Amino acid sequence: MNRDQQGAKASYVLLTLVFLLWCFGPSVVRRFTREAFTEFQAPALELAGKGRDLVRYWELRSRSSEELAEAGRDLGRINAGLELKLLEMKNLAEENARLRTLLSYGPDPEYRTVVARVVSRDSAGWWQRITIRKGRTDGVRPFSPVVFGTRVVGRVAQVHLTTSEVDLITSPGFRCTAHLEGDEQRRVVLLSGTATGSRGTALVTNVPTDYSPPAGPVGDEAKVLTTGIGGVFPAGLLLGYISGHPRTTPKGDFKEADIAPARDLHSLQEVAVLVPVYPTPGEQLTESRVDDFR
Amino acid sequence: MNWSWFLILLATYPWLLASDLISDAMADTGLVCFLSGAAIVAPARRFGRGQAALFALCVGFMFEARRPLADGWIAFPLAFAALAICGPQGLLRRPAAVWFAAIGLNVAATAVWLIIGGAGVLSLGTPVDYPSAIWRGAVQTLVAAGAAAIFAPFMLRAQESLMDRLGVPEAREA
Repeated sequence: MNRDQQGAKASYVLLTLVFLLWCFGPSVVRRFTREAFTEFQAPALELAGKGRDLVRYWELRSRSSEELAEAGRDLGRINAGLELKLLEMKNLAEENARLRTLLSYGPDPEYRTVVARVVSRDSAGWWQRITIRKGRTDGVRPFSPVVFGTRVVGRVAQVHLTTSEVDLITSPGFRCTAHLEGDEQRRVVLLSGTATGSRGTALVTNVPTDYSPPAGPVGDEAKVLTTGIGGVFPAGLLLGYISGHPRTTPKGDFKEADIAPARDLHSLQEVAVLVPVYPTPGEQLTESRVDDFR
Repeated sequence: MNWSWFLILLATYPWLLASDLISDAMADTGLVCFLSGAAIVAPARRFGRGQAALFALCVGFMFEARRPLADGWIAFPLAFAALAICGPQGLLRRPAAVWFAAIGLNVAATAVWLIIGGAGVLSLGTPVDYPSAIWRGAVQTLVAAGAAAIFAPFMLRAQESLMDRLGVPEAREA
């Protein structure tokens, strides 16, 4: 065996040892490496996102003043309608607070909205993710809900310094409880992303066998709404629509149905992260576990 | 150890970023434009073993960093592949051989991340539609081969010319 072959053998052995150390060594090393390589790439991704925004800006600049005036007029009308709704909402909130006090109910979870631009979308068979241009410095926390209007987009999976990764509702790691439109008893079902189809789909399981979607015109499918249980997602947000008729599971004890997301998740330009003002039950549990270890 | 591997990494990053931006444009199709496998071939045939392994590890970590894949399970296979390329350099002296190696390695690395990603999904207990997953895996592998076939010649040329400027010695005869 010549020196070159010996050197090759030694490098394979060394790399194998490093790999074993990597696998069984402290997880903080793996976390640090992941974080370091994400931060290394963050400025370039941010630059690419800002470049895209600039293109959009110049595209909007090229619009005629008539078009802009028309858009302004439409916005004015919408604003007038929304002002009335706001007043209505304020009255309802006050009434809700009074009733909660009377019934000794705890306060509703409060959220702070962080609006974020989408930097990139990454979709493979095994994951559907977007990267947003807001991170730890903007107060984004892991597992915060991500919405577009009243429609759920996903949940923050990882938070970095200036960027965050969001698992879309069709991503296999996504799970949340839901109510189905037309179910008078408001029974809780489970929504989870599935690893199937090129764009990813979500599946709603634990649907009671006596449930059938409300009859309506074609294209007006039953809505799937968040329950608010668990304190992660606020109640009443739209997760998607039941696609097709619910089918009975092989065991026959429940039904399941495919879900069409409420929004084309791969064409989003901007989303809002709902950051809980107070620690969520999950965060409180993690904190108490950390305290136990201390 | 000199820092030429790091300079080549910085020069290779725009290609990896471009592949990420193409993946972004292709998000509707559920496919990823993967180039990390092809990116390690040219440096691995000219660098020493240590630098080649470090370069491949960094390229792998960059792909893993923003994706839900187990830490190190792309980076280390790429590093082993880089060590393997360091050996039979004579085979990789012809441009056509380098091009074929880039395609082959890109396809192999794609198969690795598809398997690792699948294992991660199965560990979550998520329902998997196997026929669809196999079909998509096959299409993704073809896309990776196509991406390497199209982009590798330009990327390899850029890497080679920078290595020439940095004075990295040409691949030795086997």
